[in-house]
Amino acid sequence: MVVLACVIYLYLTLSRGYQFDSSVMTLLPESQHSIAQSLATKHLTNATDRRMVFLLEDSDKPRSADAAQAFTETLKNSQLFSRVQGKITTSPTDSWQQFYQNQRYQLLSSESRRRLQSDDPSLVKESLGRLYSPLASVVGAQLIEDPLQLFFQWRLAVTPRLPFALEDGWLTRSEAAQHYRLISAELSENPYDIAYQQQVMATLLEAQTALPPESQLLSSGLILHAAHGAKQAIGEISTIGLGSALGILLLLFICFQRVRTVALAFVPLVIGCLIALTLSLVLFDRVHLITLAFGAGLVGVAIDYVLHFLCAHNHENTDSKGLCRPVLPIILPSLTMGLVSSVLAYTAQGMAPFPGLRQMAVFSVIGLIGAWLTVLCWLPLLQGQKPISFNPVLINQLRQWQSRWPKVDSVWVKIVLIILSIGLIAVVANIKTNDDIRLLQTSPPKLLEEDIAVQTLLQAASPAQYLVLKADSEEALLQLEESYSEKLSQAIDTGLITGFMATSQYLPSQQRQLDNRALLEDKVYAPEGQLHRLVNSANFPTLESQARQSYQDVPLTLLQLKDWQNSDICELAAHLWIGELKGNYYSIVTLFGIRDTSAIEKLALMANTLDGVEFVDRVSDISNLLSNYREQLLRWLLLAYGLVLVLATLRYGRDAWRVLAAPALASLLVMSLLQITGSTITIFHSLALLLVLGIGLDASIFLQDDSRAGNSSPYTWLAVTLSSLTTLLAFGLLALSSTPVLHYFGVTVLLGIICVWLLAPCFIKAHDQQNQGRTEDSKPA
Amino acid sequence: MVLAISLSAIPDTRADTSEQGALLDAITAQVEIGESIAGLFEQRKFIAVLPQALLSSGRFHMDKKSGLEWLVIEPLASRMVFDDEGIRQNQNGQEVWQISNDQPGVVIIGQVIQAALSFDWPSLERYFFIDGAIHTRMDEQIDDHSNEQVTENNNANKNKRWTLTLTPRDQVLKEMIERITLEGENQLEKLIMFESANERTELAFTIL
Repeated sequence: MVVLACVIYLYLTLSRGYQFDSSVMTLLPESQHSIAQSLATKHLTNATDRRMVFLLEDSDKPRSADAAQAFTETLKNSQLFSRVQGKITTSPTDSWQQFYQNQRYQLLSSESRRRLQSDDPSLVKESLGRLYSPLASVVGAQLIEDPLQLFFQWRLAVTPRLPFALEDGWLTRSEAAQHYRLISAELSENPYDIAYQQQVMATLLEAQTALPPESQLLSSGLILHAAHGAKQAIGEISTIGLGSALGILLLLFICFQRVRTVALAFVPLVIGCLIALTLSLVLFDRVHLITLAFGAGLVGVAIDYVLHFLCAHNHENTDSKGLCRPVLPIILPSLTMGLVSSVLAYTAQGMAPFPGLRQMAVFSVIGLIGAWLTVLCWLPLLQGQKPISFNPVLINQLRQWQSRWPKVDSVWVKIVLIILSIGLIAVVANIKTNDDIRLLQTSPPKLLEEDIAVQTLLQAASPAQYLVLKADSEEALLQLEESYSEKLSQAIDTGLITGFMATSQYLPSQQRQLDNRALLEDKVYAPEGQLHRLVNSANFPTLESQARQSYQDVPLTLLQLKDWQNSDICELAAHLWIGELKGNYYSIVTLFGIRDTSAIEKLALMANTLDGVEFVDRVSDISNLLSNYREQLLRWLLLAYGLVLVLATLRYGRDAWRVLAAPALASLLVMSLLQITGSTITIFHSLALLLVLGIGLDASIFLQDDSRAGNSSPYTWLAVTLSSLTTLLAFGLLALSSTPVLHYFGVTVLLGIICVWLLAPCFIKAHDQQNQGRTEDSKPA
Repeated sequence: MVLAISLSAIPDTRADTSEQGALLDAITAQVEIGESIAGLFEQRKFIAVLPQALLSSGRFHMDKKSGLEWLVIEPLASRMVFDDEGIRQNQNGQEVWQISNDQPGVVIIGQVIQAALSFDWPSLERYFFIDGAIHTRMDEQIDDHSNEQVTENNNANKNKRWTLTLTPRDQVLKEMIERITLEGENQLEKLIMFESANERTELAFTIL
């Protein structure tokens, strides 16, 4: 019934066109921040997610202009973009001039304000100096409206600096012999929507193929990474997932030699995955593709239960009629112990603040429980009482190996293991860890390099470090921006940053607008003011009255937030204003050209000096979180060992250590191997150690229980071997993944399981040497 | 007799690049291009709202390394430097105003004057279509705005007078500068920026 319900639910959901999530960002940790910070992060991400920037590189300008035109048209014709900015036809200066025309006597650069406040006498000379120089060509026409060129200077001060000049109508930058044409576009849909992604990628490919061979295209945009991530995940599910499934099938055929048995082995897996997927769809808004990829790995662990069940159905476990005795009572304790330990390990993984990992953990736990229940309820019915015939060659071979396997109870093995352990602990103690955010990168280096190249050529604002400001009204927020801008100006002077961008630059607070107007009234347009002095020293007789008239013709009208937001020119800075949330107002100030890491520290300190200003450093935030979590995880791992030890002591008494020794030693071995081979140790390696613990425990418990029952049968050993191999195929193959996170996990599991498989039998107390073993194991302890 | 190198005024000059190239090569061949250029200037700024032009004069010096230094002497002392960084203005030895090259628009003025003084055609062609003519010594029918000193100069040397008209390639620059004319013989003698119908900036150079 449950299974049927799941099937129906899945069918209904998937047939409605469910979209699996492929966003890399959802794998990123949720950081514990102030409201302002998380609001700003979300706001900025939304603003930039849909943006794409292209640079067309060519040594020949006419050719690149034609190529850029063709490229732009292909994008426009596709209807996939809400805006494509190619050739520029209207002057940005003109639109500025127009928008601010009626507020021109309310806008002053901070430099002009300072000099007007002190009534600097050199202001007149300076503006005449420009008027008598070739710059007259630019400032001459506004002589009446802006006699001291104050509005002109304000405009220059706030115009964003772009290292691109307009040439032939294209924003162009020349570097050595290469010319770059700038094209930008805005996506009309969600960049994570896989169907839309594919359409955009096809259009881009078409546009790129049509470029002349000499032109090179540099692209930047989140959708490129998202599309790559989705493609990679789908690719890996089909290669790694298929590879592991085929490998496991082949393995089972070699062992069981019968289609029916092999098919039976898969029943609990299919049902487990079915239930897991259904519940995941119910529990999570969006199920991540990587969860599915990882879900393939679940196969490896859940198959253990079936294998133990099937291996117990051997010819040695038959009654007089040649029928199998019920196996469940025999294996149920071990099976349950195995489930509990695995669930424990996954739960620890689920504690991670990474939404992606949490989803995987939930998926795996549900899948395991589903598979376990299936083994309990379905398999006895399906298998009946007929014993399974195993490949006899395999069984004999295993029996031989088992008898020759070195045991910890021999003195030499004990000495070797003790020395080894001491050596390993020494190596592991010196491990250098890596908590770099780049660990989370899933994009190929080429894509990242192109991104960096584009951002460098654009000299764009730093995407990872910015300021969030908070105040209780719009006006207060703009005023806060203005007072903090003074500090930022100092930071520019000392070289910490090259610039910054804030809403108040384009929309001064009302107070500031009033102040500016008053300042002009008082120092420029007053009877003996700067205007009078300018006219006198230059002998322009009619200018004074004309300029004064122009000033009086423009009454004070305060520029409002909504005016600015409705204007065309706000586009360049619209993302800076977050707006109101629960009575507070928030805005962002972006920074340009942050000098180095010491500058970041200074900026962070600087932000602390003013109430309502927060410095956000996404890079160190995530790195800190990673390292924090890595430490937590280590504690969790030790705790898990502790818990299992208690649990095992209840069951095995003084022999409990034998169950734990294999996974513990295997973990040490893996970490040492990774350390010696120069691989960095990350949080994801530590996560995999939890799995090594889970699986190592499974193996040790079954072997130990088997041994306690007095028969070291090759069938249990076969089950352990098979489950190790299937885990290797399922998880170890993740080592081939090009997603770093999965790769780290895969490598650790691969090495860990091999070690566990080799070590577990060593620690099993042989039932015929019980007394000898007990006397010897008291010595090393 | 016009020396058969008069280019069409149609803005799209891509078709006649070779003719234009020949004209510019001919000018390059007869002008003196030194490592550094120094001289005197006279500026007449015509502003629509003012009855008479604003007159100023002074000295200038230019070389590859330090850019163009523009010293206004009359009617008041002011120093302006146009270089790779941008524009800097000094008053009484103190820097009072500066603008960097990555701020669009304004800096183009300095770039144009520097390129014109050093006959740097590629730099001018970044922003303008170039169009013009070279006139023979005996030529009396000279077109455009360049007829004042022709006869006198031509008697003095064998070189020919030339005039060039620069038209902005893109609409946005055109809104700032309608066209620029250059004229000279073995030096650049005159540069006029026509900003709009009633606004122009005339620069006359005497190279020392």
